[in-house]
Amino acid sequence: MTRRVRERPLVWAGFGLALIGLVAMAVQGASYDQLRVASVFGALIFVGELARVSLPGEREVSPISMAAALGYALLFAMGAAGVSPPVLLVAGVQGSAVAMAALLHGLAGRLTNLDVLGRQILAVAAGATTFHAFTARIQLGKLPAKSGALVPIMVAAVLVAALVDLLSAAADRSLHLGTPVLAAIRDEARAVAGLGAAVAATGILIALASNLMGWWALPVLILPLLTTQFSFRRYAQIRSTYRQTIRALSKITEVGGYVHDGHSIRVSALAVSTGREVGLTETELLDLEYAALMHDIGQLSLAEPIPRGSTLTVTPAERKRIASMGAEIIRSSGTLDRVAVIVERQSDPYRRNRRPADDTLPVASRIIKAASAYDDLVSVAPEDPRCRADAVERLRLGMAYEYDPRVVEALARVVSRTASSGVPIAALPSSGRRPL
Amino acid sequence: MTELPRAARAYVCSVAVVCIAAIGFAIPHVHHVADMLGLCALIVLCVSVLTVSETDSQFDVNLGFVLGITAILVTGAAGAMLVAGSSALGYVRGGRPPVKRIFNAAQCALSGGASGLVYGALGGQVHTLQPGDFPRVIFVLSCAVVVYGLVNHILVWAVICFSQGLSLRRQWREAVPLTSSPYLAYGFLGLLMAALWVNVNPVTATLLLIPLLVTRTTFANYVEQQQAYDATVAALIQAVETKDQYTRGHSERVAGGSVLIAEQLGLRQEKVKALRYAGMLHDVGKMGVPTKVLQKHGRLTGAEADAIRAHPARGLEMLGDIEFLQEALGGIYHHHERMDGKGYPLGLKGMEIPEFARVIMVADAFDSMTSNRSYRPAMSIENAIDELVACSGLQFDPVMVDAMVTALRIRGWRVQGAEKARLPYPKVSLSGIGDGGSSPASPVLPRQVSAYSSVETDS
Repeated sequence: MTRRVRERPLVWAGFGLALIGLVAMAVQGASYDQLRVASVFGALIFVGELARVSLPGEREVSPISMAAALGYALLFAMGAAGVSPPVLLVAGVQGSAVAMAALLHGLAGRLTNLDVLGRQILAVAAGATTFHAFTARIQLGKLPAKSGALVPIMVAAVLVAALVDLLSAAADRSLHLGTPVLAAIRDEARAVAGLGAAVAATGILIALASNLMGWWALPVLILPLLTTQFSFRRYAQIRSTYRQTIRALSKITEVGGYVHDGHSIRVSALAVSTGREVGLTETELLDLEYAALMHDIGQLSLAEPIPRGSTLTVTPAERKRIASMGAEIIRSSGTLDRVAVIVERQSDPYRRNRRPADDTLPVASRIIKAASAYDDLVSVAPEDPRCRADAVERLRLGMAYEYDPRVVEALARVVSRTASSGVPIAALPSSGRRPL
Repeated sequence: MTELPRAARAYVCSVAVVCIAAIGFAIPHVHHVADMLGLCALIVLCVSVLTVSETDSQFDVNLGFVLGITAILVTGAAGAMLVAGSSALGYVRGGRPPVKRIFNAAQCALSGGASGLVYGALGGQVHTLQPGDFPRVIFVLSCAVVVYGLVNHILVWAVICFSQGLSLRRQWREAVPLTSSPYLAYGFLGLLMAALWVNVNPVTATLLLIPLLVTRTTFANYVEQQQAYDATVAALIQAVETKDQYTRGHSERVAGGSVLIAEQLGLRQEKVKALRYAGMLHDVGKMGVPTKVLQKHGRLTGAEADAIRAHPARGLEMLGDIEFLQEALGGIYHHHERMDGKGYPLGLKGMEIPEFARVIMVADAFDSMTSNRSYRPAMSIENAIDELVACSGLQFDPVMVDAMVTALRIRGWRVQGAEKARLPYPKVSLSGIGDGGSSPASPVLPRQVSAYSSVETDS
């Protein structure tokens, strides 16, 4: 968890900006109104940060804190009195609020991902800068009651903020998980689009409604966001329960003596890393993970377990039969059809003699085929580097017929990386949520 | 579900007639027609893009309600009536019976209209909202919101009473209380929307709907995932059960039985849910027992008996990482204990045995007795009940046995092999419009959802 300072540009940029903001405010001084508004919004950001949520894929979000910060950045009046906080003040208030919340989380024994916080500060600052750039001509403090003209500017500002947040999140992910950049941007956009829209809309509304209703605006607008957050939390919970259950039930074949211990979990970890390496989307990765966890479930229909469970030692026809039995079981759930197809085709070769490669063969199936074979091959001596090298070499020999060359190369990269870092593959992230 | 009692039909018709008369009376009084039409269009649009699914009333954001309140402030009582009533036009999808749609439209329109009248009578201003109005308008609006909720509640309550004929007091609680605090808060959201609509512009006001729509969509996704989860667990458990043809469907029936007991005892919703999964997964450790031992006819050797006795521990080992099952794990691990301490794996006694285990023990034993086994035929339900009662105190917790027997007499039991059969046991049927129709076919357990309490929550 403790990464070097140099590797965390977002944290430094974000909190550095916040610090500069605080210093600037201390030097210049601020009006009483400005301070009062700052403390209320700071408190709201702080509370919102305390109630953060984890979305599927290890994404930490704090919708209320972000909405409050955006609302503060776009603020132009509180009731009839004009109040427009400068960009540095916004960063200072947000930075100190989230830092205090992180401290409190830390005292309660919960880790905070500082990258996320730094990113949030930068995103809001970008939004605030946009807003002030467009409204420079209008004297915000003396604005007439008609605020409709500001709405397009506000929309532009939250879009800039969202873009900065999206790009920096994707960059961060790509850096630390090895996802290709474009794939990371696409996954990030898909994962946070809904919540992001709700947060951005609430931010704009906080600024507008503060003018119309004064302080009443804050509680009224936070409420719908609370229910949004609640529904996301429940969604994330069922997703993680689903995952934990599939992982647990994937041990069925091990307990039954059909495959060696930990085979399914190891194959799924290796398969997911390989899949990430070849640029699969997050949805595809989840399907791949489930399929890898359950890839041997068809063996339940065998009368007697295969010796040591390795499907490498049985005939191709038998392998095919096990795969389709497994697919049958998975398909009977009625909800995992894509996973069933992956499992069904895991035994198919990459291409047959004198035929072109089969395009309909899912990439996920090719990955599972290679990952499962690798795990069977190294099961003799998993810790021995020579054994690992031999296993990769055997996969390479089967390349272009049995295995997809692209998949084998990606797998080889993953294996060499994990071997050099000494981290076991199974200890990859996204294996569950941290308690909130 | 299609057959409503005559009294209920007459009631729905009279509500509809009153509503039509009220609309006829209101039309000449509609002002701000353009605003009203805009709100109507918005409400129809919102309702028709939403996924209509089984939802949890507490978190169901009632968009119609927010827009209805907005309409009161922007267009007045007459306009609010039309706007609220038009929400029913959006429910073209979802295959609701027309009776329900008519009733929904009528009750929404009447609640909206009544609430608008109260707002006007207390001196609330229409189509102007200045910062200076603020503390006062909040009080006036609160009264209007309470009336909105009350009228809605009474109308729905009455339809449930007419169609189910159960005790009035119980139905009063079952009709979704619109007067509860979240609704008051959503009323303020309507107020804010109206303020934006009048003072900024209508397009900006619709920004307010984004968080609500996102919540709805997420909630629908959640429900979908939950169903997918249930189906997957059921499919995997079935795959395990193929090892032994005699245990087919056992896990699902034990889950159903555990839920029967839990509901009879009045346990919390969360606990009932956890118990359902615990019942579902209680025998998963049997995968570690060789098939020939499970199906053996004669006496078991010591080693074979040990293999069987190890299955709760194996189950615990497998399921230990599932966070939400933590409370249920005890139930799985101890489901072969006995009250007199002669069970396994630990030989716990009486109340030392976790509550979940005491529930599962009874459901498990009852289903085993009423199912065919390789070494004996099934027992009749009456005999199995007698056996439970005879062993209560020694083997089973008497409280659980009582709950099971009572629940069986009310709800019935689906025995082995009777997949979609009628409930084979005489029961006091809850043949309301909600039950009956759906419960025997539902995959896991009969759900008690009364149709008309969901009328309001879906709208």
